[in-house]
Amino acid sequence: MSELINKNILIADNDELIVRNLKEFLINSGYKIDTAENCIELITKVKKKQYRIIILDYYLKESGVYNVLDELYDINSTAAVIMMFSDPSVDRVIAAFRKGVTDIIVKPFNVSELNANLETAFKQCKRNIDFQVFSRKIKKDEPALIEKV
Amino acid sequence: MNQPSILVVDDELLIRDLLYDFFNEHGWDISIAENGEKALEILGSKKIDLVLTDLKMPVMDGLDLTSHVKRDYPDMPVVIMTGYPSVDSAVSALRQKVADYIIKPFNINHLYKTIEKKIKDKKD
Repeated sequence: MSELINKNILIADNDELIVRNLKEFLINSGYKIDTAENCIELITKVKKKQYRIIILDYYLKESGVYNVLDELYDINSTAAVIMMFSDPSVDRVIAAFRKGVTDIIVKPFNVSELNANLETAFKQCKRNIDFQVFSRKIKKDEPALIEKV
Repeated sequence: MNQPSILVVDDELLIRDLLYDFFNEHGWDISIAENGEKALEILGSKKIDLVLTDLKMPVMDGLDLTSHVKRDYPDMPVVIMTGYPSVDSAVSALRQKVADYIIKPFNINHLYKTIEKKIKDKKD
């Protein structure tokens, strides 16, 4: 599997300490990082830039996080979302995965443990992109197939 | 949709009987196993559209079974059912890309619709 060249990550959390630590760790690991502190800022940034991974806090302010996920996937259907929980429950975890979240991180966490989550998320993003390319190709080839029939 | 074929894996006889009777009445081809090892034997011997498995079982539990199934049959949808839900098992199950994680006791009609949809999604 070829590597993704674009390694843009968006961190969406209103906890300054978490954002600062995450940002520092990810920049040092070679990623390009933007941040958003509420849902409105998150959507604005997703509209402007193609992010590969979005690290999203469950309690992000302004608008419910699951509504935001729907809007986010409408804009960027290939991004992989890692959701952060400070008080996860079984129902919330199931709801997150049913909404298409790729992975879950429980706060507090050690940033050095994030690499495995990021690796999974980049793989998922690459699969999403491959699927999108394949779907477009099928759509493009469809008239020719119909003509042949 | 052709007659769906599902494999139910649960160590509780009551659940196996209940699900067997229900899906059988709906005309589905249903196989049953009481643990993960028996389930793998069945998977190797016939075509199955979906695996519905309990989490806590002797011999081989639902997560171990899921791991084997995803390795040998990557496109096979696996639905987990459990009477002992936990955040850790939900995260582990869903990281293994299970199709769903259902908590017992469940509404059997809801389960039926969920499974029917997962099989349809796989075929599409």
